[in-house]
Amino acid sequence: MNAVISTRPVNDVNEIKKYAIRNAVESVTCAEPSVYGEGNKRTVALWDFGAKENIVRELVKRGCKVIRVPASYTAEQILALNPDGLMLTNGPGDPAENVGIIGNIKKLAGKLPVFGICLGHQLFALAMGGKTKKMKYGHRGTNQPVKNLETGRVYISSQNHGYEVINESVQSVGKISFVNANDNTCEGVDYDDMNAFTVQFHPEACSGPLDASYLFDRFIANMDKGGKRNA
Amino acid sequence: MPKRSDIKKVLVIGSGPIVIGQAAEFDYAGAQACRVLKDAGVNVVLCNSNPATIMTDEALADEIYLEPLTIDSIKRIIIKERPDSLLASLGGQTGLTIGCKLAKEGFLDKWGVKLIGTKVDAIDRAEDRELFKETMQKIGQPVVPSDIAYTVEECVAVALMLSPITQVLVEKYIYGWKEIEFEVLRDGAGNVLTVCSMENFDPVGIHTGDSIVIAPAVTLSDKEYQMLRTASLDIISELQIEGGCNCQFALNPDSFEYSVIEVNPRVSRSSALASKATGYPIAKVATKIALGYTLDEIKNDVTGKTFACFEPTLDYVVVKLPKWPFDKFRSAPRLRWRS
Repeated sequence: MNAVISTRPVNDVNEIKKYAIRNAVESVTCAEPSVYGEGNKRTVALWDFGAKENIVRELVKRGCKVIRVPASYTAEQILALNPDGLMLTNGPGDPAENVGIIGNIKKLAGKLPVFGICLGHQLFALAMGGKTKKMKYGHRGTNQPVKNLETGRVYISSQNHGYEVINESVQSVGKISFVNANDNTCEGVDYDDMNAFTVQFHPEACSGPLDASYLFDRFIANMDKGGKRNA
Repeated sequence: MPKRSDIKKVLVIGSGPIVIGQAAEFDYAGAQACRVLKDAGVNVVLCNSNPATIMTDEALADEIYLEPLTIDSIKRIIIKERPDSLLASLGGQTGLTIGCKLAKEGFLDKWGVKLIGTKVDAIDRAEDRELFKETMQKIGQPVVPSDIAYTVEECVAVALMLSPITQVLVEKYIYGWKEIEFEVLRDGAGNVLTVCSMENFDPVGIHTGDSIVIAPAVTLSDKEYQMLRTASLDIISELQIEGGCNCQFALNPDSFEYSVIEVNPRVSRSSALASKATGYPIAKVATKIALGYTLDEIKNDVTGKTFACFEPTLDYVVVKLPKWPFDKFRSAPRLRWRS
């Protein structure tokens, strides 16, 4: 249900009902590209959909030169940077709205290692033919348990999302890697033949638990394994 | 994983009566443990020297021995009752020490008794000060610079005499640092989580038991909190704790420098506070872990739908205030003792 906070009476209920968040990513992405960790040996193209700063820091910390690019960048522009890996960041709004970005992700998938977080995870799933849907309340907080389906281990994670990837919709293109231990919703997918993996929760934390920060190490390893540059 | 089928009869060591230094918090834990065990269809034999607790009521255990909590009593009970398991981590320090001694002597092996919950090796590495220091150093956790005294010449004679394990730890004094604690849990599958953080209002120098304690920790930034939380979880992973544990840290208020002060691989007074503050039944979950369940299998009784593998978030503050009932000791001098 929509609501409005106002200093004067609002009579047009239809106006309120009609309101929807639009162009969420466009309103928060960076205007111009910028570079972090100049001189580091691996290059990561960080596609900024409203990125949390700590994603940049976690990558730079692990020896990456991060080129942060606006959401409006195309697949061709990103490939022209000659990156070793692609980072799909978190961001706001309904993932299905971002038709242009999804189209560009389709062109990039399989061409280089990809790591997606939150909105990035949802966009990649949509690009692979999966589906997303709005959750009733969403998951918010720094105490959300996620279960690694391969090892059975449960990690505590930081979460803030209102949409989920529908598990069944990605099973033919990827392997569900994590589920929420409370309600079994999708928390991560591995796309092994695309050299991509994505998670719904926030391994970069900030705030929140650092339990899953090892996922950044996995991304680094993927880049080093398939890398065009010498490690 | 399903409950272990090799646990059919458990001897639980209770915490005894309220004495100065070990009060009724452990009683609460022991009673929870008995309930869990009975619900799981396990035969419960209880040894507790306190007749005034609900734990020694008929409903909570199948056989109750109101005997002194000594090695000798426990041995006699084991010989008579022939339990297959011993749960010693819910009766405070006394229970834990007895359990360990019996394991090391070979008595438990001889009589076919398993020590369930956290293993002897883990308990040792947490309790023996030298082993603890080595273990922390191995995983890169900073400890307060210290050394062990074994002889009367190296240390005050009285201190040694009072130590039940004839070990006295001499540490560098880190007066004035913040004292932060974490109550943490680990199961047999290696899942770890923290139930509660607590902050001592009184800084290092005043024992936790004598301090005003606030749950959750209130003066830490996210970075400091996560640093100490990660340290706690790394410690219990290394020690391979199965059940609950209390980790205490000293944190320099002006930098990110910290030291591990102490680790208690058992329920403690802090776990009673943590349980009550968060509503998370630590003793109950620890007992289920001892039975072989994992945190994602143990039901959360409050929601009924979710499981024990989550971390409570508090939007309120709970404060514990110590009280010294000197009014009941009219003629005693007002000395403060270390518990």
